[in-house]
Amino acid sequence: MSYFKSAIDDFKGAISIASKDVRVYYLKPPAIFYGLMFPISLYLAFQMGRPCIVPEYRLTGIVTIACFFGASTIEAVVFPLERTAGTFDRLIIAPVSLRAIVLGKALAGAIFGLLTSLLFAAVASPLSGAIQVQPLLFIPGIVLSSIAFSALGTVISVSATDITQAMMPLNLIRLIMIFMSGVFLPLEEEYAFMPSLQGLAYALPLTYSVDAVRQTSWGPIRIESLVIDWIALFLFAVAFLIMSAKLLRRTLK
Amino acid sequence: MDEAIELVNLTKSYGKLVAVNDVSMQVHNGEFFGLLGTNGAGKTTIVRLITGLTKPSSGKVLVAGHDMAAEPVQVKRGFGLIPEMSNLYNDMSAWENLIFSSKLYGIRKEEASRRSLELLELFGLKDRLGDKVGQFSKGMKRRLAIAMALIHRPGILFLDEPTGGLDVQSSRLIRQILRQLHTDGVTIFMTTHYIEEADQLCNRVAIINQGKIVALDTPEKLRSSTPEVVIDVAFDSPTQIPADLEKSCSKLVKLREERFRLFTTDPDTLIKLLRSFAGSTGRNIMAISTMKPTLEDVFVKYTGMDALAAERMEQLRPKRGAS
Repeated sequence: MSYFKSAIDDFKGAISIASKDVRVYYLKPPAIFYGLMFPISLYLAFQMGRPCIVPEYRLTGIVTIACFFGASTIEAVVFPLERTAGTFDRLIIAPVSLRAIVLGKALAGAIFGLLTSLLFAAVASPLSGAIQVQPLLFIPGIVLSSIAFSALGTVISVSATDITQAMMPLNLIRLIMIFMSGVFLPLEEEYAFMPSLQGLAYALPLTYSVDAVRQTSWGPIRIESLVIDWIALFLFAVAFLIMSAKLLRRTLK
Repeated sequence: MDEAIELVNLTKSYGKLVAVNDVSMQVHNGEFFGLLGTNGAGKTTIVRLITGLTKPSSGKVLVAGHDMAAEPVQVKRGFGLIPEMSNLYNDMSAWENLIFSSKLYGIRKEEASRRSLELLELFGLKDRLGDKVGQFSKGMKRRLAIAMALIHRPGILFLDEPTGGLDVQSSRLIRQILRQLHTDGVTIFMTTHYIEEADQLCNRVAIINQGKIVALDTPEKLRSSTPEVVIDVAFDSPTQIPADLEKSCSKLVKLREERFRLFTTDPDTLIKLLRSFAGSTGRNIMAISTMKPTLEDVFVKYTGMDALAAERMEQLRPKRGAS
């Protein structure tokens, strides 16, 4: 009972932290501009510069990347900023667990990633060939993707004391993932030069996100494969959140 | 439970640096406790250790009988912290800051609104409740930080240099509020390097030097703990106190090139020696006074402050009559 109550208190604390972060950091013109302009400029660049990528792949790839970058980027600014301003101490002395703090931070990023990618998808879908989104199946995938990507951003940023400490490794990891996860090509084509490396793609959350978005946007839908994508994204999110809480505990030493 | 805070063999090391060295002490319920020390003595580290912002290398922290390591959430419900640096959200209004704090402590919405209004009224910020905190002066920010620390009505309040860098009016207002909170039964743990402040406010004072508690008692007892008298002497030109004269006093503090403070149990002999030294070196004594040691003198004795810090302290010190 006591464990249940403390879990509820933690969840309420996480929601408070998330809503504060959304208001203070995410709903700011520069953040919104970044969240929307990034996928739009990427879309236009591919539209004009790489017409060889089929429109459906282009759209689902950019939606996934918009979600990936939207959910994970601003945390790399928020953590160091709060540490410098001392406001992070306010969270540490609050009667919520470190898990709740990490979850709150990750939820804020996830909400932002989700909203910007959905907004972009809504605008760009009618312009992108044979896109026929299945909302009931699309939403769980993009929600879980946002949480997993945001939790990844939290892992990288949680112990950073300045922005470069978080942003540089985060960008490196994200670029590697984009090249390895079949974002704009089927995995078989991407790894055609060395098929034995294809297994590496399945160690990355972006692969499952791309697959879930692609299946539910223009098919064909294989429900067992979709469920595997959802489970994998959920497990990545949980693993990243646990790692973040452990790293946060280490920063207190 | 009589002890609000209990530290047991508390040690904190950063590599080879021992910031807090085997500190054991208690703060009683309802007490106004002051921790005095020079910059870098370990005051802030002790506050961070007690409030869970840093983990100890060894030792234990008990707050209201709860072990911080074992029950951090339980412990955190019972105290409020006002750090040296105002940790407010500058992009949020005073009202939003208070409401956010109350949410972290699980206070219901209506109750949070009621308490926030009360606190804004008490701290003279009601007229500015909708203004962004970024527009506030340092004094207003400090008042709001105290208000935020009180939103959950904690039994223990930690303040790290509460009046540091504030103007006289703001400092006075904060001291007044702290006195009222203490009267209302709140246990207050305050760090400061303003000795007068600790002397005015605290029931008991601990002096920390290089991470160790070197003295702990009431300000009165600390003052009477030293049998020495303080002699303040100023010559008409820069000089050095010779070694044989220095041996005649228990401690010598150089305030300026020509001004010294000497601690002695035999003031008459020392004054004669000082006059004789002045005569033999062709100098005049411009001023000489003897006085009972203040808390500041006790602090100087225990911490062995350097001349620069002593001079700074001298500027802050109110004028006293010579005996």
